[in-house]
Amino acid sequence: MRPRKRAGALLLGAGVLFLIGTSVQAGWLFVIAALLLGAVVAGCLLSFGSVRGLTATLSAPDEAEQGLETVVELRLENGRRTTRWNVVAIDQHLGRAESFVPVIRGGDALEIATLRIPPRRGENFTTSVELRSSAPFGVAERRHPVAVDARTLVLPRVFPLGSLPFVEPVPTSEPATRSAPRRGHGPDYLGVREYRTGDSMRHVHWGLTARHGQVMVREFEEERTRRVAIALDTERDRGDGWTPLDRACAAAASIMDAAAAHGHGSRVLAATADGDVDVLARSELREQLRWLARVTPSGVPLPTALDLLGPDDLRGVETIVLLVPAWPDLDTGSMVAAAAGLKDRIARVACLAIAVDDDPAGARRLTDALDAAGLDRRTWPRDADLAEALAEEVLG
Amino acid sequence: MIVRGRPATEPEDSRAMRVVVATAVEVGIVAVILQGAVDATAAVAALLLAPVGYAFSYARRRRSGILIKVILAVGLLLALDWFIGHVRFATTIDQARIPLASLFLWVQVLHAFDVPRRRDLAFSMVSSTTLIAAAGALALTTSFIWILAIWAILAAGWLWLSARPAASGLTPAISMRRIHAGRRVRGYAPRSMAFSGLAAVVVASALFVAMPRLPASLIRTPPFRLSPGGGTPADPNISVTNPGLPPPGADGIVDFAPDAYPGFGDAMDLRSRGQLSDDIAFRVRAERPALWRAEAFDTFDGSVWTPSGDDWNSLPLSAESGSYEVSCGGCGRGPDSLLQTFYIDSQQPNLLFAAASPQRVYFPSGGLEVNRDGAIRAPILLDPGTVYSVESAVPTFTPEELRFVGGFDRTGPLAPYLQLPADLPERDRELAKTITADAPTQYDAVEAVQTWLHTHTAYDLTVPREPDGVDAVDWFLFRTRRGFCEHIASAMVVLLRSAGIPSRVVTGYGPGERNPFTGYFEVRRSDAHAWVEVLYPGAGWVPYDPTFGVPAAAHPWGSLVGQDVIEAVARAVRDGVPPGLRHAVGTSIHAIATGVGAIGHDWPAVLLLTVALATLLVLRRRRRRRAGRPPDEIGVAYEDLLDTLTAAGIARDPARTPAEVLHRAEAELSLPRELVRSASVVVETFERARFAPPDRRPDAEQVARARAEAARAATLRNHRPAVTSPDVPEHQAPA
Repeated sequence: MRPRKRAGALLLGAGVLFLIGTSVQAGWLFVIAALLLGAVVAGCLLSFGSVRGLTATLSAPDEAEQGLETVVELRLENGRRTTRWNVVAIDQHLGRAESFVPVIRGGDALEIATLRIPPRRGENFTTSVELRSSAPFGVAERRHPVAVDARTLVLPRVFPLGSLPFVEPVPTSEPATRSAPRRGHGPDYLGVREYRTGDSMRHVHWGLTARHGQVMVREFEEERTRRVAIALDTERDRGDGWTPLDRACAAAASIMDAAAAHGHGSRVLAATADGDVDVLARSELREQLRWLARVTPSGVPLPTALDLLGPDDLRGVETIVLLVPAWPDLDTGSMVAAAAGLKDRIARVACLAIAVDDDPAGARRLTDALDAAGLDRRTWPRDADLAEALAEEVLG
Repeated sequence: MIVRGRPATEPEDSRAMRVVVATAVEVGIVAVILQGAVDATAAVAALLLAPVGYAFSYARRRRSGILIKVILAVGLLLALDWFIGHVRFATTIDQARIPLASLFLWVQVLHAFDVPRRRDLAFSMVSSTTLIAAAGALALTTSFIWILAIWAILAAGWLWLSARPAASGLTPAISMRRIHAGRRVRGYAPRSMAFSGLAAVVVASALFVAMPRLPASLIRTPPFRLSPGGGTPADPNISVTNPGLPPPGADGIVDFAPDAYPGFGDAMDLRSRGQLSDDIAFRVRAERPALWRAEAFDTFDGSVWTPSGDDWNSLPLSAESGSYEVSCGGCGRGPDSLLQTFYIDSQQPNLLFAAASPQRVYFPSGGLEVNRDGAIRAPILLDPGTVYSVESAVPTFTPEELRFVGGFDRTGPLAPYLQLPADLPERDRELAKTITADAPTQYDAVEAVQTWLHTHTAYDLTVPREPDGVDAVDWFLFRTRRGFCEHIASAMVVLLRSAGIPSRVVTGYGPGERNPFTGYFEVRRSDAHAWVEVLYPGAGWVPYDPTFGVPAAAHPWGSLVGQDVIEAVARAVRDGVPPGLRHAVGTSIHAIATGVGAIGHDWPAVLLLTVALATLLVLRRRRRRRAGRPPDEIGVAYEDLLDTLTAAGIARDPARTPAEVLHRAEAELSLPRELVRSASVVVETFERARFAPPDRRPDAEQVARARAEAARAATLRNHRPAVTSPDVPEHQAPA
């Protein structure tokens, strides 16, 4: 039970009235002083029961998206027979919320729905809701934590990107394509073969069929799915909400979402705290978002992480996007060298420099270094649109 | 990200809160007006404009108030200018009191036009508290409790409403719904509020009783003087005008009248008899009780006391303080100053009442006079509504100080205070000598006489008049030993004078009873009293009250634990409860106390019995709760119907509603139609009893009919109807 300012004001008023009443011998001033004191004492005593018997349950979706409104339902139940007044329920699930319930009658259960905007991605566990009430007179506040169990995985924000400018069909003249054609149903003609059960009659090569005396069908090359890899620099992070790592994960999620929408495959990789590199490949978008939601700072710079990659980690990848928060003390030389080194293995390397709040010039330093190395780079300032930032193409 | 609502300085939208605050302020204004503390213009303006102001504030709470603030500031300056103009030539606080209160009202009215936020409303509540406190400080009677009660309810309402958190810090809910309703309780809101209010009142009452009543120290009430009009002139031909005194009887004795005490006049006759009423004579505001002295008598002829001199001297009026300076040789002076303000309630003689040794008098009329013995008289009677103040130097000496005073010449000016009747019987002098024989000092002698009177005499208002020709004191000391305060005081003076101690009889009023609510001493006509003053060399005249034993020396410090409150409450209960009921309650309490005493001997058995009873009660309550609500008449009828239908082959189904039950019965062709009709009556009555609005529920007669129909259905259960079907010839139908 915590006394409030009002209790002090009432006590002061009672003291003044007592003093004046004593001095002028006016008995009614003692009565008024006693009434003020009575309100304070009764208010303090009655506040002990102001939240007694209340239980709470917090219901939230299993998954939410960072920065988007999410409905969270709080259920309050009064297990006693007496009414509870002016109850404020405070919880921190997906953002701090103070829900006010003016009255809960005995035996009633109320459900209050509020909108929350999750400030951070990641696992949100809420184990308690604090119930407060200063009824009846507002002179003392009773606070009582109630156990709840609410879990929500906040996924990174996905921005609509439309087209992916650095993920485009790679020409078939490219050695990487010609060296390993695959059979499929693409538009490019690969050859003829004998008919197999299930082949479409449209593909029958009637000329060769007449010549060979058996049904021959045309075979086409499989349309190559452009595979993009996204490498996150998880060395460090800073801030309370919408941190640089959050933005990197949001950029990754948005790119993967756009890639999936255009039928491209994607994989994402990031260093972990134990010094290893985690690669997520061949997964559905949802699974990728969940993976990104759980990315935490690792202490491993991106160049080091790239060095740890195995030969199969980037197999079939035509484009790799490096998502790099432009920290003030970022080793731009190593980063540029790592990016340049990737160009020997991967057709296209792009770098997205994510501006950090307190050093807008840091992004410029990185981009200048990338420009000097002739690498494809984009810049994502703090309040800029990601789609616009990715659409800007600057090639060195 | 924190989802926040509106900013912290958001206007207060609660209409209920504004109504409560505005009403509380209005009540405060009314309270002040009822005490006559403001002039008429300010009173009417405040009453009318304050509610308008609050309504205006509510309507404009969301608009910028710069222009309003400028206008209000100009209004405040005008009010201040008006106030200064009225008090410029005031010489006392008394003259500034009403303009000051009016200024406060004007400030309150102006403030009412600019209260957009919750904290502004809180300031208004502070103002209303100030108004109520000011009115309470001026209230003379306990009738103030009614307006205080109304204000207290409003203040509690404001506390309740403002206990809600401000909307600015809350997260707006997109929906709030009740998903489960508990037991319906009628009037849960008023019950909660009433319970909280009652708890506060109970605690406040306990605190009020326990609150210490200490002497004033930092602030003192200024002196007041008010007169209702010109004042009723006193009779210039007599020394003291005592209205209401009856004329002397055939025996020349002036008896008591309900509204007049014979002790206020030119003589005090010990043969007077009668009773005084309990009407309030006046109220006194003073920080401690005292005997309110009127006049003194020094010459005794065996039956009548008279003053030996009739020399009245005019009191000088101080132009600086506006008070009369009292200086007289026989007044005495004590070290302790006591300011008393008298509020006359019923007409009194033209004598001013005051604590011993008045030094300064504030009276609303000129022409005050004082005599040798310190009596102060006015040219007008003390009419109801007269207010005057007196500053007294109350003698407060310790026994040690009084013991070691020097001697003085007992002749000359002291002779009147040693006078005894010429025919005083010798045994009275002998008695005085016997009582004071072992007293080493004058103080001890006085104490011995007072103690003897306490031990050997009794206060009795029913004592008959003594026979003619006898010395009243001698008759009292050696025959009756019972009498009025006049007899006891006279006996003390005679005994002291016999022992050579100068003393005199003084009349006036007793301290009265302090009203714990108003703080005033309420002095009734029946408090008229006579006591003694003894002259100590170097110390002056020191009062003694041989009737009730008020000590001469130290004055009470003040009631530290509200003792007077408890006594006042007990007195009120005693006076308010009829004697028969009081006797019955007293007898019951005595019986209970006796029973408790008996029980105390066998406490283990009692404890065991109590525990067993409590356990039985708890079990019974649990069983009742499990059984649910006991069935009422219509419930019993419906249950009977269900039993009947079950016996008739229609099985009970708890999920079936009464209407469905009836429909099932109607569809069952094997049931007698009359049974179905009875069932219809029972079901219809049951549904109305359970689900209809109160004005459509069945009355007792309809319920009784339903019971009867249920019983009839039971008897019809075995009467199968004749099944008639077009395919079955009638003669083949079962009987």
